[in-house]
Amino acid sequence: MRYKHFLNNNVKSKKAISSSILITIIVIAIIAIAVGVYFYYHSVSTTSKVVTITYFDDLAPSEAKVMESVVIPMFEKMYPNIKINYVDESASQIVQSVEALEQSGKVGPVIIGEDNMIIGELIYGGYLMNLTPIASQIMPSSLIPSMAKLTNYELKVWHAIYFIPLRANIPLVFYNKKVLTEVGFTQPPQNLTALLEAAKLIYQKTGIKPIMFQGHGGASTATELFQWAVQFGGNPIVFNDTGDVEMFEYLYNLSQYFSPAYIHGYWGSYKGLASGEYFILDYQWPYVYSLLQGLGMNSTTLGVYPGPAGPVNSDHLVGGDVLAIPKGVPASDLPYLIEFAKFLLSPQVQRIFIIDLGWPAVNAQAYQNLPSNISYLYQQEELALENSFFRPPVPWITEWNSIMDQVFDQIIVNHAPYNEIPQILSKANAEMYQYLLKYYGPQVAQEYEEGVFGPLYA
Amino acid sequence: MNKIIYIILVIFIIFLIYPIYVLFLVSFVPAIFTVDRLYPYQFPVALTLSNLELALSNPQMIHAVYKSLETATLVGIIAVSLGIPTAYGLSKLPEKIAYAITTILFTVNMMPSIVIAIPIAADFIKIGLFDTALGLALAQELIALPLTSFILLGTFQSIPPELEYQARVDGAGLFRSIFEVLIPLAREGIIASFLLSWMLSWDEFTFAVLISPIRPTLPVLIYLYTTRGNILEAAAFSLFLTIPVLILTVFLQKYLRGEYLGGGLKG
Amino acid sequence: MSAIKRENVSFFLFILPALIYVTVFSFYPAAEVVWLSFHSPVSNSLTLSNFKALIYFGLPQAILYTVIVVVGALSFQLFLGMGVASLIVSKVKGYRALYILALLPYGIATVVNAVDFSFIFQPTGGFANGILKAIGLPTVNWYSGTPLELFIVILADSWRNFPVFMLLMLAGYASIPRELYEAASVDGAGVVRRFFEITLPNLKKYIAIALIIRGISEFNIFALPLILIGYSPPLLTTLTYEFYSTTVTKYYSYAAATILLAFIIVFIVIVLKLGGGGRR
Repeated sequence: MRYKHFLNNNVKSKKAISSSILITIIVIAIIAIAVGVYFYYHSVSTTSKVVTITYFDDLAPSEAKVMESVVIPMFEKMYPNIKINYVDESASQIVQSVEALEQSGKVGPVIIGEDNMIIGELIYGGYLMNLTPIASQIMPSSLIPSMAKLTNYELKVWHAIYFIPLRANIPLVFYNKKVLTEVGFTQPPQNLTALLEAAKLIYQKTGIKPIMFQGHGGASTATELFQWAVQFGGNPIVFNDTGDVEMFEYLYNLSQYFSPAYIHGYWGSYKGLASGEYFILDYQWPYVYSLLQGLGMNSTTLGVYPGPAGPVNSDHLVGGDVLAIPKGVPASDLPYLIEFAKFLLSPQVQRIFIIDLGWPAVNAQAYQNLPSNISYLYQQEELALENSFFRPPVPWITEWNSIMDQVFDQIIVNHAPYNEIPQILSKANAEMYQYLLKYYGPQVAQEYEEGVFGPLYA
Repeated sequence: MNKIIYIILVIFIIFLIYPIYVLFLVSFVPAIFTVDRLYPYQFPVALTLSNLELALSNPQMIHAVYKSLETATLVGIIAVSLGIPTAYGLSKLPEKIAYAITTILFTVNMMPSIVIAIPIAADFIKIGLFDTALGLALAQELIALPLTSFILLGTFQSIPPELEYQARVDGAGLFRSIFEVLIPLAREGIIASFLLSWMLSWDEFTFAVLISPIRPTLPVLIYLYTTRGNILEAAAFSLFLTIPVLILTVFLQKYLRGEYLGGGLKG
Repeated sequence: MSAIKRENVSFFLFILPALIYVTVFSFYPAAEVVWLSFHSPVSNSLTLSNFKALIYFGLPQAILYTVIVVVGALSFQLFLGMGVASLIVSKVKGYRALYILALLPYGIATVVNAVDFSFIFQPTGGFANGILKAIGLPTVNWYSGTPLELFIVILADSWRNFPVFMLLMLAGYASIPRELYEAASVDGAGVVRRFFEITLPNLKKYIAIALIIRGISEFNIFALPLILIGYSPPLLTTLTYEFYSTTVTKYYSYAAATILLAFIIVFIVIVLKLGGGGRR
C-alpha cells in the first residue's frame, strides 16, 4: 500500500512537471521547425544556375575524408556554379539507390563510382546510360594497360561504353618486417610453402597466430578467395575445379595460423598489424599503407609486397571503381557531369589518388615524377599489376558471392572435415548451376558449367 | 541474509552502470588509451573533447540529427492525433469489442519490423515517400500507435465518467466535451504518449535502415559508420543519440509507472 | 437504431482511422511478403525455391540460433526483472534510487547499446578483456565461437531490456492485495512459500504479457546482432537483411521474413495457451 502511495504522491508537482514538459515540447518543436526552414531556404536560395551533382561512391572513412576535404573543394573552386553532394554507400547499396531513383522517375544529375565487379548488375538491369557518345570527352588520353583492356572488354561484350574506369585497386600483403626477420625471413615469403613455414615459426616463437585474413563474409571474403583460387590455377566461379579444391585445402591448413580476429576481417581491418595483434596482413588494399604509417609503423617495421606466388601463377585481382551515369539523367545536366568526370580523371586528381590514397591511378600521365616516400608502395603495386585480371561483371555475381561466403564458412570457419572439401565445393557448384538454370535459362547454366565465366584477362 | 542482499545489490548496480561508464570513457578519453590499446584503461587517464568535436564538425551528423528530429516529432504528433480518438472510442465501446480491437492493434506490434519494412520500402519508392521523414514516420508509427492507444485508454478510463456526463448535461456537444473536458484532464497521459512515441522513433533502426538509407537518421548513420570502420565517430554520435533519451527517461519515470502500463488491464 | 447503438457506431468511427492505418501499413505489407516468398521473379506459379535456397544458406542454423537467443534473453530478463522488482517492493535501502537507476538501460538506444557492447567485447581494445587481464584471469576471445557470440548478444540485449519486465512485475505486485500476504504469514507461511503460492500465481498474467511483448521484440532483434556479431552466426533477422541488401537475392529475404513471421505467431499462441488466455 505504501508502495502505491510512493508512486502516487506529489499531485501538485505532477501538474507543475507536466506544464514544464509541455513548454519543453513546444520549444523543441519551434527549434526543429526553425532549423528546418533555415536548411530549406539555405539549399534553395542558390541561384537557379547552380547545379548540385549527387556523387555516390563506396569509400573507407579515411578515403572519404580526402575526397570531401581535398578533391571536392578543388572542383567546386574551379566550377563555382557546380556543387557536389557526396553520398557514401556500400557497393550494393549504391545499386539499390540507383534502382530506387530509376523507379521513382526523378533522376537528377547523378554520377556514381561503383565497384567494377558490381557494375554488371546495373548494366544488365538496364539502369545505366549509354556513354558511347560522350566517352571521348571524358576518357583520359592514356589509360594504364589493364584499364584499357577493361574498356575493350566493354566494347566487345556490350558494343557500347557503360562505365569508365576511375581508379584501380590491387590487394597487397602487409607484414611486420621485424618479426619476420626474427624468425629468419629477411625476405618476405616468396611462395606458399614459405608462408606456411613462416607462420608456423612465428607462432612457435611468439604464441600469437600471425595471419590476418578477410574472413568476415560479404564481398571482402569472396574477393580475396577469388585471387587465391586463380593463383592455384583454378576458376573460382565454378567452385570445384582442381585449382579451387587445392586452394581450399591449402587455406584449411593455413587457417590454424589465422589470428582469431580473422572472422571479422574485411577491407577495413588493418590496425592489428600496428598493435601487434597479428603480423601478416594477407591481403589488404593499399590505402591502409599511409594509415599504418600514421599509427607509428615505419620502414623498419612495415613491409609491403605483392604476396607469395601461388603454385601456378602470381596474378593479381584488380578491384577499384568505375564511373557510370544512371539512365534517366536529363540531357541538360549532362555537361556538368562530364566536367566532374573529366576532373576526376585528370592527371592532377589522379596524382592525388596515388599520393594521398594509395590507389593506382588509371590515367597513365599521373605516374610521372612521384615523390620518393610513395614510390616504395607504388613499386609493389606496379609489380602486382604486371599480371592482372578482373572479376567478371556478370549480373548474378552477388549470388556467387553469397555461395562463396557460405563455402568459406563451412570449410574454414566451421572447420568441416578435410576430406569433405571437394564435396562441399561440388554442392556449391550445383547450387550456382540451379540458380542460373532457374533465373537465366539452360544455356547460361550450361555455359557456367563449361567454365565460360571466369577471371577476366580481357 | 540482509548482507547477501546488499552484496547482490552492489553487484547489480555495477552491472547496470558499467556499460554507460564505458560509453563515457570511449567518448571522452583519447582513443589511444581506450579502443586503440590492446587492453584499454578502465579509468579515465585523460579527458578530451576532440572526439566530440570530430562528431560535431561532421555535416553528415548534423543532417542525420535533423532527420531524426523531424521524424520523431512527426511520429509523436501522429501518435497523439490518431491515439486520442482511438483511445476515446475504445473507452466508450462495449468491453468485448474494445478488447477485440485492442488485440488487433497489438497484433500489429507483433509483426516483425523487418518483415513489414521490406515491402513498404518498395511501395514507398513508387509513391515517392522513399527516404522521406514523412514516409519513415508513417512506418514507425506502427510501433508507437498501439502503445499510445493503450496508455491513453488507461488515462481516459481513469477519468471519472461523471465529468464528461456533466459537461454533456450542461449542453456541450460531443466534440466540445472531448476538447474542453477530457483532453485537459488527460493532459499527462497525452504528454507521456507523445514523449514515449518520440523516444521510440528517435531510437528506431529497422524501419530507418530500410526506408531512409540515402539520407539517414542518426541510428542508421551510427551503423553505417561502424560498418565503414570509423568506430570512434560512431561512439561520439552515440553520445548525441543517448543524451536526449536519458533525460527524457528520467523525466518520464514518473509516467512509466506500472499503472499506466497496466492501464488497459483494468477489468 | 437505438440511441446506444447509434452512439456505438459513432464511437467506432473514432477508431476507424487507426484501423485503416494499421491495415494499410501492417497487414497488407505482411501479406505481400508472404505472397512474394512463394514466388520467384521468373515464374508466376507458386514455388518453394526460395525456401530451398535458404536452407543451403543456413536457414536451419538461423532458426536454432534465433530460438536460443529468444529463450536465453527472456529467461535472463525475467530473472533480472523479477529480482529487481522484488528488491524494490521489499523497500530495501535506497530502493527509490534503485528504481531510477534500473530504468536507465532502457533509455539507451539499441544502436548505442550495440556499439557500446562491441567496445566491451571486442578482442583487441575491449573492456571486458581489460578487466579480465587486470584481475589476472586469462582473456577470452568473445568472437571465437557461436556459443560465445550468442552469449554476448543475449547479455547486451538483456542489459538493455530487462526494465520492461521490471515495470510489469511492479505493476503486478501492486495489484496483489496486501491482505493475502498478511493472512499467509499468520498461517505460518515463510518467504519462499509466500512467493510461490501468492506472488507467482497473481503475477502469471503480467509475466505472460511481459513474455509476449519482450518475446516478440526478441524474435525481432536486428540492430544489436547486426552491429555486434554481423551476419554470422546468422539469426533470422540478419539472414533476411543479408539477402535483402544484395538485390539479386531479394526473394530469399522474403522467404526468411515469412519464416520469422511464422515463428512469432507460433510463439504467441504458445505463450497465450500457457498463460491461460491473454488479458481479462
